[in-house]
Amino acid sequence: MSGSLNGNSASSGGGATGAGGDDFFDQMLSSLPSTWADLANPKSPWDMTSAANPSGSGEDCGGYDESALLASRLRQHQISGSGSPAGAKPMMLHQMLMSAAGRAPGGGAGAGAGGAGDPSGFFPLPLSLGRDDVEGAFKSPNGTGAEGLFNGFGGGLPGAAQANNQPPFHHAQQGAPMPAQNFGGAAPNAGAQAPAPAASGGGAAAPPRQRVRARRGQATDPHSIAERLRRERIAERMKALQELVPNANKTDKASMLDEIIDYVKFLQLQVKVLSMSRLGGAAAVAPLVANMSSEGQGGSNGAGGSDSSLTVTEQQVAKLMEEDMGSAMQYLQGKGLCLMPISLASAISSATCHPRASASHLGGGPAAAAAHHLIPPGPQAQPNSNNHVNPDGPSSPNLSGLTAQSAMANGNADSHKDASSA
Amino acid sequence: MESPLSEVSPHSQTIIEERGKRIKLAAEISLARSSSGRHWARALRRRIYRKPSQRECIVKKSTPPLKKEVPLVAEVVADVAEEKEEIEDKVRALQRLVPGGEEMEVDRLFEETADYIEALREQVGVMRALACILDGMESRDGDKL
Repeated sequence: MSGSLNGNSASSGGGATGAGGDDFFDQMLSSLPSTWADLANPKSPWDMTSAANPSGSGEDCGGYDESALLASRLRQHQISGSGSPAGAKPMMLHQMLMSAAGRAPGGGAGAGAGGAGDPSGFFPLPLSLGRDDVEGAFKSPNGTGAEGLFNGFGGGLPGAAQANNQPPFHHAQQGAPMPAQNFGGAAPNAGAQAPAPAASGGGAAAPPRQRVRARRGQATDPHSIAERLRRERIAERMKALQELVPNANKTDKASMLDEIIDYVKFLQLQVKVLSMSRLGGAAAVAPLVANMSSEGQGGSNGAGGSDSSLTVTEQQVAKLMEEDMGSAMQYLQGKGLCLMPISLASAISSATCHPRASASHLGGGPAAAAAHHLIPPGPQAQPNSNNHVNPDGPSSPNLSGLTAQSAMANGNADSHKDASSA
Repeated sequence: MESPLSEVSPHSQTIIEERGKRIKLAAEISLARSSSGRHWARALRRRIYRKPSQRECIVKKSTPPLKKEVPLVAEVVADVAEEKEEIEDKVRALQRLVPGGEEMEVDRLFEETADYIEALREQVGVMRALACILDGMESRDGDKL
């Protein structure tokens, strides 16, 4: 292909590929006068005429924005379409864009010396329109670090790729995984296409399969760009949230959202329990326990725990505690919980990083069981979002800091201090 | 309040519960005040100062995630759509949790969530410290328990 392209351009307008090529080119030129005019305005560093040496793949994507602009224009025209085969025209345009941007090695026909081509502007644009290729190209790590762009475009590209039914496979296959290579491959063609927009009818009536695809992929101009920005913003926020929420090392968006939701629920419940039982539960612990338990059996739980199963457990425990501590303990142990003085719990949690004990301290009445997962082992420690009663001993240091205001009149909760100081 | 005045010492039960609710309300007010510039804080205030009957809304709605049948052919498109729906469900759940979340777009929602989480954590810390102090005072004054 490159060879033929070179030949085409060399023929300066002679449609080497046939009359159709010329027609395409003419059509394009005629239909895009305004666009080209804009493009022709040299973005200063780019000199269309001079044989700007392609800087090679090392160049960064400085010209990216321009390229995006060009690409978007290209896309527009492609969409508006002038009836020419979908594939050819945009690709031709793309070629011209590339050359117009001065990226192409030197103007001029047959400047196969395009050499390394102009990676800079188009670097991030893998030149493959074949769907699979596109996906592959986008997903492959981009050495230049334009990954963000890639990702952004990845979203836009498949859609665009579908629009283009003439995937220049051969070209894509040349360098799909390596944008640099793509450009390397493209460059000679681009160079061949060198006829600047101003130049009249340079022949490159290229057969549709040409590089340009890459552009097309991204371009849907304002929409896709806005989309990309939005996605980036969301990703940023997600990262910020990840730092706040414990256990946030999930790569999956869905599980990350789960963690966030659980954590918010956890914090809200913490506030509620603190206010209802710890701060508000003052005197009358035993009656509190009894009342809560009886009320619980009445069907409506005043505390309205968000986790109904937990509330039921708490009620049960409270009820049992009235009757007989032993049975209460057994009940708890059956669930993998145990009662212990808060001071002991503090000692345990401070002694080990990951206390294995699943401890349920006596907090205010029904909140006892809930307490065990509410208070993290330190004021600034990350609370574990493990809200469930683990039957086999939890891995999380969810020791309740709820005070023993309530409780246990039997002196178990002799230390009313918050165990969270551990 | 309409707490069921059940057979067992109704008055202490009600009082305790009532007190707890008022404390929780105070906590929420202070929470809202701490970040008064935030959308969620304003929404929280609106909720608090509405009629008390509207204050408690049942947040937990069991929204069973719609499970699409397993695609016979593991098409990328179908999987992506299913995932997207899952994620959307979760985003909606988060919207319900964060006050004022229903009116927000996803990116704004995340921002507000981050701030809300921070504020909640601070609130919890303050309350716990307060509880510690109060407990200390109580035990000093003698055993009321």
